[in-house]
Amino acid sequence: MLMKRQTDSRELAGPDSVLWNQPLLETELDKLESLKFYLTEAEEALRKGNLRYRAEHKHSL
Amino acid sequence: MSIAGDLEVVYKNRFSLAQYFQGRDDKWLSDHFFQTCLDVASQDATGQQRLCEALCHVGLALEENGRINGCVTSICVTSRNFTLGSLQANCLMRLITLRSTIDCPMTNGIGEQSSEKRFPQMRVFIRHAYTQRYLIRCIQIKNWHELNTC
Repeated sequence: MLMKRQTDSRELAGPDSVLWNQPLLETELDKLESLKFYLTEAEEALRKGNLRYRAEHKHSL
Repeated sequence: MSIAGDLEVVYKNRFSLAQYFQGRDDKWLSDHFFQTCLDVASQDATGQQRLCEALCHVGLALEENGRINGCVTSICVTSRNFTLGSLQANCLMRLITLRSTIDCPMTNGIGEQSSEKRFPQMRVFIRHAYTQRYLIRCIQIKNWHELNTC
């Protein structure tokens, strides 16, 4: 989604935009690694929370 | 125990990402993750402090992007519910300065809309700003003392 947004905003800004000087996110591996790490942690926490919530409320279902 | 405890972890991770990109001058990415922090904090009924923090950062990002009306809304909600930190207080002072610049007849010109018409939230915001003026002054005095003791 973020990569698409970056390319879309480039296209929208036109060929003279400074956005074309900015490297694409998909080519920046260190940033992708950080994104992967933090978003995986966040997703894991969310899934655990959902599982715990379901386990606590299974009797009320 | 509900999913709220885990929303705190989600918030912290997203906040770390926002700060990571802020430190690397990727403003569009840091803005995006501050906004998602705000989305997560809004879902969490127990995380009022996190909500305040997210509102402050989204407000500051909007101010940097020149979207003053959105910034006023964010900082206004923050100042209504929480005591201000130095970041918000400084932003508040900038907004008050901006308002006085817009209202000044020398810069505004006759017949232009007043800032309160342009920014409907401003009236509410200014009222809250006045009630917190003492606090801001305290922060300024505190910062001044810290500067002098350095």
